[in-house]
Amino acid sequence: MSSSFDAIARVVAAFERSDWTEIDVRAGDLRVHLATGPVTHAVGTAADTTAGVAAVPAPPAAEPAEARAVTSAGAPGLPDGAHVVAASSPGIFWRSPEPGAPPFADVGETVDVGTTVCIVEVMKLMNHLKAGVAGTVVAVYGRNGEAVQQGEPLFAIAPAEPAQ
Amino acid sequence: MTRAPTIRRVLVANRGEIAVRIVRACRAEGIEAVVAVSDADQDSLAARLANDVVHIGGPSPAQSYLRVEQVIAGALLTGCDAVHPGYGFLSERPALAAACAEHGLAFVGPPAETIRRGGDKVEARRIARDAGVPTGAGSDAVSGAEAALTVADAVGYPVLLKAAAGGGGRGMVRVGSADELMARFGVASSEAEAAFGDGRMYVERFVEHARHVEVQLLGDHHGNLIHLGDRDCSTQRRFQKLVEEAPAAALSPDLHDRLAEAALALGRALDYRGAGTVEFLVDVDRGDFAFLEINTRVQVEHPVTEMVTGVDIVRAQLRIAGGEPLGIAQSDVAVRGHAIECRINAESVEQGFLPSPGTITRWEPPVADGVRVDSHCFTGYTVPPYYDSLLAKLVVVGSDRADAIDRTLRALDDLVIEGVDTTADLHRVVLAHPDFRADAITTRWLERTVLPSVPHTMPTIVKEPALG
Repeated sequence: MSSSFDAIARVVAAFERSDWTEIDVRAGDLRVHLATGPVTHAVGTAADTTAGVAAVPAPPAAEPAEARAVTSAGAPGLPDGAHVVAASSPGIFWRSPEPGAPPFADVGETVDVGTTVCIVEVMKLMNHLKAGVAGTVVAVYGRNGEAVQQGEPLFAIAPAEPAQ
Repeated sequence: MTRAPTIRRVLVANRGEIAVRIVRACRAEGIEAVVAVSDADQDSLAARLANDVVHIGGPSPAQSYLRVEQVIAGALLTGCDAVHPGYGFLSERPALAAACAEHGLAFVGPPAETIRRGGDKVEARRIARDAGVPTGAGSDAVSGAEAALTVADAVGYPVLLKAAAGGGGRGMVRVGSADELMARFGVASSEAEAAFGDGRMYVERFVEHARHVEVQLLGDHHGNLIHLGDRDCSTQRRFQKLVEEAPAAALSPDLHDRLAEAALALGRALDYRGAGTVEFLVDVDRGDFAFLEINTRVQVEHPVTEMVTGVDIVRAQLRIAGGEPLGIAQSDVAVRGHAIECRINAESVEQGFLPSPGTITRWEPPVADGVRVDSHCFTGYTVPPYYDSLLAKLVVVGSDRADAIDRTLRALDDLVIEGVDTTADLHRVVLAHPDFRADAITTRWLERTVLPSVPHTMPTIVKEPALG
């Protein structure tokens, strides 16, 4: 490529004439992360990769509201006695039966033992995860469409009648 | 006629074996290749072979390989002037082809409008019919369950309810009676709406004893359109291909010709540019055929055609996208010998084809005359859980079909994969089966005849199909 400046300029120009809400691409020591919204467009290069990245805490504007969820970091704030539904295998976490459909189970909803709460997709095979307990969903830890590791907590469910 | 730009540097917007295949074709054409990678593919074989790598997002396809804006930005950042979409992912999304045109990049594939018309199965059926291509008993989009019932009653059960926006085995329901149709139409339509954003359904007669035969097309920007013969992909499980062959040896010379003419007629009607495949269902009992769908991209099983014609389809795609004339006339195309492809998937047949991601601890592909292995795998490679299960395509050419079967069996014996479960053993069973050797198979043969004899469980799981 002719120069880093030209490369960045091409991406910025494309972003400005399109309806994209966010792009984040990286090649070698060059990273360009642009987003619409409150944050001004920013560009980072290798020499200042950290600065460039730090300058762009861009909220992913495209993220649908219902997909917003807490990213799992050891299931924070897990209520006492809650039942945790964990990923049965590594894969992709899906909260809805199909793209665009409402989630299987959202926070505050009641579920039965056999209620499907999510899908973990492994190599295009859709594994339906059941609640495993009757109760109320109190937390969703996975983010729709993102990768999960085996054993990663995905749901917390407060049992309807906690075992004594 | 618009002259496409000359290509110097291609963004490979795909992964796995096809990314490796495209990088190698670029190298052969003297074109630089940049591979777009997700977090999960940063150390892939394609990335190692490429001139450059651009990182386009997270491991889930929705975060990376399915994002048009990330692909375009990746191409622009790395100074590419073209994008090759491979198969799957964005390859048949008109949006990527349109975005390429908008941002001054050559798209290695047909124009967005051709992809759209081919992808709308109802419109493709209409175009085929107008071009004189048999479409088989069935309907255009039906207004609802009652209308579907009228069509189904007329063509006879069983029928397939198919989503207009489906294809490749997706969005299909087989119904055996009027009651079943009435019970399932609504769900099928709303599932299609949810999956494809298009709930339109159409009806097709279900052919019990059918072969899946497809014709490879190549068209350029100068009005040239040729076919490279046909392929038989009847060895399928749940509408997904496991073994593919070229040519379709069970067809009479007359039927070969009629299929090729039909494919060309459809290609001409679409002003087809690039590599494409027209799929047909051949009715073994009736001795006739019907158009199924057109795939506006390179097909997984393209190597069997390459092995018997000597034409490199991916290199041809690159030249066509660069505005060059085909350089091959129909009279230059000759089919010699017979080629067989086995899709070696990371799946446990014993456990009902359960996916088997993990680290490959030993990878020893066969090496022999006439044997080609298209793969992205190597010893120590970790098969990620986020993508399809295809590990390798074992492609073998022989002087005739019997010779090709013998050579394929020997190649399968020499194939060593440890660390993950694979379908290699099932391929041995298929290739050694007397029905297969007699070429007396249909699209239901594997499921009805072979699988019941192979010990395996059938877990109640829903599999989203891979690609054709």
